[in-house]
Amino acid sequence: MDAILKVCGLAKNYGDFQLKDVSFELAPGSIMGFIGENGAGKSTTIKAILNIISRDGGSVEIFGMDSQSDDKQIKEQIGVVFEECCFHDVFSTDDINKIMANIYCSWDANLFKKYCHDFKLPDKKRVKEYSRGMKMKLSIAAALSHRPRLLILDEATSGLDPVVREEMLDIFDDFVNDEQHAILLSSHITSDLDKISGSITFIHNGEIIFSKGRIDLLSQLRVLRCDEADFVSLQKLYAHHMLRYRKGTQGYDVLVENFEMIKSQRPELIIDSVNIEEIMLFYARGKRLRGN
Amino acid sequence: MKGLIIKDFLNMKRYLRNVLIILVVYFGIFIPSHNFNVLIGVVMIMCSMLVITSISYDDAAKWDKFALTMPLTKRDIVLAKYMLALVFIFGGALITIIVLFATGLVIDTIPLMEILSLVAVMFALGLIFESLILPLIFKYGVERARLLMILCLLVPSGLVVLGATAFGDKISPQAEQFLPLAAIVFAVIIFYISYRISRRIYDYKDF
Repeated sequence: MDAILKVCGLAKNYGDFQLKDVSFELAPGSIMGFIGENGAGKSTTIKAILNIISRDGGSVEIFGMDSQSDDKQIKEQIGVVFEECCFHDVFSTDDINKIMANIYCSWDANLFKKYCHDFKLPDKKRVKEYSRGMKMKLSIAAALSHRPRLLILDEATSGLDPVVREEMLDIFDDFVNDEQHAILLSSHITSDLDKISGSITFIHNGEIIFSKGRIDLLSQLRVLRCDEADFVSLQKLYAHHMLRYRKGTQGYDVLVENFEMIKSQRPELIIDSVNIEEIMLFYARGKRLRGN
Repeated sequence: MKGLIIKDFLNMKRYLRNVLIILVVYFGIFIPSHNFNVLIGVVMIMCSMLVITSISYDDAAKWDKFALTMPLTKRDIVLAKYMLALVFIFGGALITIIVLFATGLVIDTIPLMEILSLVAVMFALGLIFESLILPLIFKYGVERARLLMILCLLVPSGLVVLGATAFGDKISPQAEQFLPLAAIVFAVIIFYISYRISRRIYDYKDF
């Protein structure tokens, strides 16, 4: 099936910061974790995808349509949640229902009420009286009530307590049970992505470092722990498989691919599995070997 | 766009109620003293400020960034604010006319025709004030544009006073009748040009 979201060569130049040739594809029925440290370009990419900011190059296709020429049609089918709740403080759920019904053609007022009820959002209280978790649930209820096909969540789970985060992740999981749906979830809380994402796209300094299936990524990569002498000898043999390294007080941690080969030839070496956070740290803070 | 205007009214419901109470107080103070110039001026200034308040509420909620994820264009957002400005100023003018004409039925010393011309000129001034301030707000944000707000109020008013002093005697009474209408036509044209400028500014705005 065609990709729900296809980003191709996206560029944006702010002078001191650039998005460079950002490209990735989001398949139907999947959740993509969009990771990177603060300031790496996650929000800029999302804003450029949504035409909130102008872009300097590249193209974005959503549901097979061009994001700029079919902007309104596309946005009828997208739900977006930002880190902060963007509804005004004085609004009640009824107010939001009235406003959104006049913005989205496909707004389902009863569905919104059902979400508010399911999320235990009080209909008498105003947004300013909501807790952070309630605000986030409200934003998600609003993002889902026009039955979107694509959800874009920009740091939406950051700052939530683990219980609410878990609830949110269940909702996202339910959402992509429909094969026509997909989620782009930007986060720097990588443990959330370990739980639900099908693929991971990693952005660093405005450039995509990789965009791969999570299982593939975790099965291909390992962290090799060694002392300086081993590190020097390994470089001569396996330099091409040593992606990044970090020097610590205990020796060297090296992010490696093709670890089976290294393991078979050097069985005494410690090779551990790696999680998304460690991979992110290797790319963001680790060093490359010379020549790689 | 209808949704955006409903949003502003729901958001400002309580604020608008307070503004209405203040208007009642102003009417109570200025009508008995027959100080209609000041009354109409104050009402129009209050009504002109309302759209600015609505924009500062939007800024505080980071609403615009969110609104642009919805099936709304940047053009819709700018147009909604201009429509809102128009609704508030027109509303202010209408309330003033209704109240003063209603009072005129009881107290026959109220110069109704003079008031009508005065409201028309103030309405035009209100539109010109919005035409000057809105592009500045879209460009610099409410906080930074606030410094220029007094300037936007004083310059058009000052020009009217200067114009009246310089040419007041030279205008024939027949031509004078058409002055308020001419002022409104002129203001509407400026208002439209301002809308086009704001649209362009907003197109290039980053969020």
